[in-house]
Amino acid sequence: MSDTTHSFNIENAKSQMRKGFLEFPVLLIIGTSPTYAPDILKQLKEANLLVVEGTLYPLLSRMKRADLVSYTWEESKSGPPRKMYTITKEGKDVLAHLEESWRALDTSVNTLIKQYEKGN
Amino acid sequence: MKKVINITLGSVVFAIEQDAYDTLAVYLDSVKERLQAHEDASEIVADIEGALAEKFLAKKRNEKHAVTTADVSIVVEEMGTPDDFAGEEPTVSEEVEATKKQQSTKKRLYRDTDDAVIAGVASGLASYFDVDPVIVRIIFFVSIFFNGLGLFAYIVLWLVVPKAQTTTEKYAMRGEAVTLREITQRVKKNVEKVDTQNLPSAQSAWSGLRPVFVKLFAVLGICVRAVLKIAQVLAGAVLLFGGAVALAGLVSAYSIVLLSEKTLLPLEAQTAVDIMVSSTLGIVAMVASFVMMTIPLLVAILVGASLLMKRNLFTAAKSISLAVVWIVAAVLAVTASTLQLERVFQELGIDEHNSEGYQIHINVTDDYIDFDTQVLPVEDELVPSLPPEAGVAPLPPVEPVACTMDAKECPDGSYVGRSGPNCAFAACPES
Repeated sequence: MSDTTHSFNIENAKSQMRKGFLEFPVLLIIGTSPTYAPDILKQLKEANLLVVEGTLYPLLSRMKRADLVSYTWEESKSGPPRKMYTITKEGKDVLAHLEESWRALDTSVNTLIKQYEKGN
Repeated sequence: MKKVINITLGSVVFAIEQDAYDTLAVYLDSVKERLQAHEDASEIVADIEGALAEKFLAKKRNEKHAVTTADVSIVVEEMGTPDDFAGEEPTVSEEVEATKKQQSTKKRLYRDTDDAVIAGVASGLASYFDVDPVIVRIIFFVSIFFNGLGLFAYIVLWLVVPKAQTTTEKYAMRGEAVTLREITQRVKKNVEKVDTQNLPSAQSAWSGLRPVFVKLFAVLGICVRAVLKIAQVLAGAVLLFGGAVALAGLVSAYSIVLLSEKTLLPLEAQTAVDIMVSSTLGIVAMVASFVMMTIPLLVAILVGASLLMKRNLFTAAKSISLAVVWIVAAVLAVTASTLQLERVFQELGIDEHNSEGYQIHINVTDDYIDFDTQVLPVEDELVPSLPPEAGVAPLPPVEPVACTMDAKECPDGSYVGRSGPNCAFAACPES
């Protein structure tokens, strides 16, 4: 976290934008193929969607509780056993809804962006 | 030089330096605290520990590499602080924030060597009671003039109270919950403190002497603690074995009285036992008094065992039930035996209106003497009840006539026993 008020506000706004949104990319990743938590992290980081890794674990636990994902324990050669996450049927339903509303959001936000860029 | 300790993290064993461990422990504690409102808090913490373990494994250069503070801070930065979690997490409520600020851990008494004039006793006490250390120091100084009480108390506390060494202990001393933010604040404070300590002070003479005293007392403290430990073991052993021996003695005394030949007992006791056993009240009195005497011995044995094993063997339930049983037994024993003793004394003839006497038959057969005691009602006409006006000196009233069992050998080789009322030996047979 930065110390100056100016950059702090931007960080805050960015994190506000990510709030409640992270489930969607996580479901997309797990929906593609069963994934280990560290690999989910890697993909999210590459896509610039996640700042701190600690956030993922409460999120995964919440999605597990909502039956959107399930996991199995996999032995690891070097280190602790890992959780392999897979998407459930309900997870797929939720994902379909999220995708739909994302497309709608994307269209309307893009329209607004275009309008803004034309104005300047 | 750094102390290295072994920990398990996500079921993997790591060697970790002491200060790195402190930082990691504080980090995990604050993560736990942040997640406490979460239903799956322990599972999430386990996930995070597993992730940390994988990161440390990746940083391990060789078998003997111990995790350092630098490793911990890099890994923690990647993982994010609990406050950062809150930024990303939509579910963390304001309430958790509020409770987090109020929460404090249980206070413990330590010596605060960071803020010490001599050994940090006063400042430790001040932290414990939440007052200014100056006040405690003044109290100590003033009480020195009351027979050196303050000095004595200070020395004892110096020897007995441990020094707050690790970060966790320092927090326990202040009764603060440990969080990353507080740790950072403290580190900053310490830096400022080091700056002020570098200033030349008027205490230079004392600061030269202080380390000598500190060393001296550290050694003395070790000795005193060792002596206390030995004393604890000795006291434990004495209580345990003393209690056991006393219990065995009590049990055998009771069984001799009740089960074996009564000839081992003095005559009075024999009769008393006979009368006691002959009624329900008497049996109640005996059993209750047995229980009443057994329980303190059991307590002594338990205390002894606790001291030896350095672990409290008394549970609340055990203590309460022992106390209740003892009180009931004591009340029963006292009431029943008072009632019963009254009867025993009556039957023994203390009561003048209902006197009874003994007749002792002594049968001398071959080599041994057989005493046979019977309680016989004394015939009314045997009781001397002459009126004083008869001009004859009144005979002494019949007193208890339980006499000891010794016998006198007569010149002719026979034996005579004692008999009442004065328990004199009977006259020897005329030869």
